[in-house]
Amino acid sequence: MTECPNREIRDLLPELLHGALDGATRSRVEAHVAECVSCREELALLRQVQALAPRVRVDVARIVSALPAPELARWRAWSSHAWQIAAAVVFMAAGGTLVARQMRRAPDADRTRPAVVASTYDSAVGGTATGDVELSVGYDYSELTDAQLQALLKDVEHMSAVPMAEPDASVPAVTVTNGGV
Amino acid sequence: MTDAIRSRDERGDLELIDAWRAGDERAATLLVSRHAPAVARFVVSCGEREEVDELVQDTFVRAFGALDGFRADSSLRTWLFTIARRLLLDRRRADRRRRDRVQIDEADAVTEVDALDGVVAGETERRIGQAMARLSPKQREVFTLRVTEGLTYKDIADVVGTTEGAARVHYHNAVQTIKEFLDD
Repeated sequence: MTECPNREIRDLLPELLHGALDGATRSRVEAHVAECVSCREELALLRQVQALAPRVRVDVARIVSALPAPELARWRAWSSHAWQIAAAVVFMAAGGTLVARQMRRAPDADRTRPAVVASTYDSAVGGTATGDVELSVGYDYSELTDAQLQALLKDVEHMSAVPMAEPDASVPAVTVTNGGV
Repeated sequence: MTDAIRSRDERGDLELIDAWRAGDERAATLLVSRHAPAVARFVVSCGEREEVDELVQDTFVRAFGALDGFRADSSLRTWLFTIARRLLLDRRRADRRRRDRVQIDEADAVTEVDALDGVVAGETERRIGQAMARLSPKQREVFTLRVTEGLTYKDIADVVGTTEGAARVHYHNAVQTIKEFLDD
């Protein structure tokens, strides 16, 4: 079989087969098929395939008897939604409780938040202290990037045990009492 | 659906669904009569031979239990094909697990059986059956839905989980493969 280059018409052959074309399109496709041997042969092939479709006997009554009752189907759908709503409520309640607990803890946590005040160490200029900066070690370090963490570690390595500047009064400094922090 | 039943009730699927929801059991009978044969044909065309009745029944039970989720973006029949295909794949996955098969590939889900064996009669029909057996599972699904069921590329894409463009390519490749086989 030689293939017709008119892909648009070939695409419409199954619709022609099933009588699914509007009047104008159907006339156009039929006119093409009348002139085109390839499309005529392809349409004949599709007709044969359609005719070969397996014929399966279906027991309609048995299927219908197995269907859920309309009320049951509605209840199933509703209960499915109800579970989703209940899960959402539980999730929100748990989340709210967690937030409330965090908020209760927060003031205490701030009072004990450790802070280290140190000088930044400029390795590029050979270890010269270039100024004071606060390095908070406690709750925010997890947000630092790798580069920031590397810089922080470098700073810590060169940090003196004695602070070179006065700590920021607004941030409680680390206090050591009886070996604990 | 038989023509006799269709002629008795030309209500659309959505009207019948509403009627069934309102308690009209006859509406369910009409819907099943209208679509079950096509679902069964599709299932058989996909190579399923055993428990076709159960699969078709499960398709309708699943569909009627979830009609609230039917958005009517596509036709009811397309939706039923989608459910049937999903059940078919699930069943085959379960069968494979039972056979201790580790690899599960959806592309291989439709078995490589002759889609028309046992139905063909003459030489031409036998040759067409052999040609269709050479199609890939996806090509056969697309070709069957297009030629036997008359679905649009958009609906086919919804059923088999692909794009309209890909469905079009599968269809034309299938036609090409069948023609080449018959020309040999």
